[in-house]
Amino acid sequence: METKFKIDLNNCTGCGTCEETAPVVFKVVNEKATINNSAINKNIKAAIEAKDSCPDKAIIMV
Amino acid sequence: MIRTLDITDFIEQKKENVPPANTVYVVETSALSNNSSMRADAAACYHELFGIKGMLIQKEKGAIIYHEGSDADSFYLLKKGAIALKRKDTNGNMAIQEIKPFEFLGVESLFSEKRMTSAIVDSDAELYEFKKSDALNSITFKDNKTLLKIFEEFKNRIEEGLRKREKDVKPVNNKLGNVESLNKGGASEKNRATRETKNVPRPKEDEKQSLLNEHEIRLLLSHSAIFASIGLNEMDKIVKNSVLISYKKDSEIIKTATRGENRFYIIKKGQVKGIRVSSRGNPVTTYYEEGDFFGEMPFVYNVENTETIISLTDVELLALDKDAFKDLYENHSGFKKAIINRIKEKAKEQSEIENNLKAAGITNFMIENGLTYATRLKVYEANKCISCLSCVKACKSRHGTARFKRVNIRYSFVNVPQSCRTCKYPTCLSKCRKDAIKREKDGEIVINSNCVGCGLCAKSCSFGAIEVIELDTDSKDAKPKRSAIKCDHCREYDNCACVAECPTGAIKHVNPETYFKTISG
Repeated sequence: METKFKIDLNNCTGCGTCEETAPVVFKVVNEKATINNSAINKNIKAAIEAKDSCPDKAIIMV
Repeated sequence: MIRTLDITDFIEQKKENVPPANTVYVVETSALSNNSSMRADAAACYHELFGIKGMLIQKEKGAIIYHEGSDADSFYLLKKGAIALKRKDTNGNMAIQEIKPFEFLGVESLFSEKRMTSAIVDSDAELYEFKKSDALNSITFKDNKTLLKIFEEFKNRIEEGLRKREKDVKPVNNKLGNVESLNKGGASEKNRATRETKNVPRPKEDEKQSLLNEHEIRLLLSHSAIFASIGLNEMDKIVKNSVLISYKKDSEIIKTATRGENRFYIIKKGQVKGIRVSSRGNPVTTYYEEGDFFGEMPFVYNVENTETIISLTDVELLALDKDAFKDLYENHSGFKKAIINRIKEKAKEQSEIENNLKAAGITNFMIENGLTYATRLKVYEANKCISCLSCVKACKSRHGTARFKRVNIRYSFVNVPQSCRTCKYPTCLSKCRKDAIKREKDGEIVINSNCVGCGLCAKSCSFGAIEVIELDTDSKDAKPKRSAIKCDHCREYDNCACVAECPTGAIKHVNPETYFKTISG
């Protein structure tokens, strides 16, 4: 099963912690995080670490 | 007329006139327009600039004003027409830079003997010629440093202008590059070229070579205590022959009893420690700051290195190879003197540390705990402290949260609490995306109100000086706002709460270097 994430844009502050942890999956554009969902499965470990590291809990697993 | 040249000479006049779009420098155009009304065949027409008289000369299209490599004895201000600066780059192509009216050319004459470019008139030009000797005689410079500082600013502005122009005129400048960028680190470019062609193995992973900014290096050399006395020619040689290498924190640069990579290093940024074994068999540790050098032993005394050099912070080094060093050392007495003096000083320092156990202990303590690159250190002395905790209470009542913790590292009676030390080379600044943590002009590192509390700065601080807290919000529904906090040494207040409230004067803010020197006796 493929893991997918989504971003809660109300909570995201664009601090860049996710990009710092998993630069392949996350990218901050215009002060909000964006996800490359197709790259998650290859980098699942880093992606989950990034999800947990989000200080605003704005990354949600679907 | 004798006066000191300052930067206002270069920027003030800009306000009076609206400069053409691409102009980098504008001087009094009123004076220029007066002159233009004079007869064209006037043999000599003068224009004064910074108290130096310039002579008006006219050149026809195709005329050459100066050649690359010829003696540089004057600089010019273009009044009318257009001039192209040409220069052969490393591939043998001609690089072209266009000079427009009200811009300077040949300014390199003020700090180098030879021309860096050839100037050829593109369309009939009128320009003012200023003699280098006049400039140097009429302007009183305290020393080279002032001159270099001014030209550093000058160059920066020109570079800025060039960068802007590069965006506008891509077809010409993009392909050929401008003169400024070509001047940077010719040596390193050559090195890279040879490495690519010969397939020489790449340097170690932690080693990164990049382009040099030659003016930055001139400034560094003139500010360093060791190289300040060497002449401009020597500086020029160092700039031309050196390669910029950067190492990450805690990487070994030179191993003892080897010849290293046959390089002589000058520290451009950061600190390194040197460990050597004393005559009694004890390890002696010393540290070197920016502007200092190491790795000279194989070249000066033809022996293996006596020290292991390890970086304390991320460092940038200027590396000179054997031939370049030998050339400088043998042919330039100023450089040789500087090196020998420093070697003597080093030996003296090391023998002092060797013979004074207390001093050795303190140096070790400072190096191990990263106090060598701290600038404002909070310490409390256990022989005075009565553990009333009024420092913590005072901090809490002033800022809402105590910004330091009394969990500590200690040397003898000196305790260093967990608090911001205002590092010389801070690691906390670069990670922030919001630009919320900044170094202010007074050197203090400050967290602004736009902090979102992600904690990236706190993670990158190796001393645990930054904390993320939840701020109190008025409404209960809104999610709590977070922010990073750190001790800013009560920047907005007259005194520091902790220092002012201490009943015994045990807690202090000190400069670690001087403070530990006094306690080592």
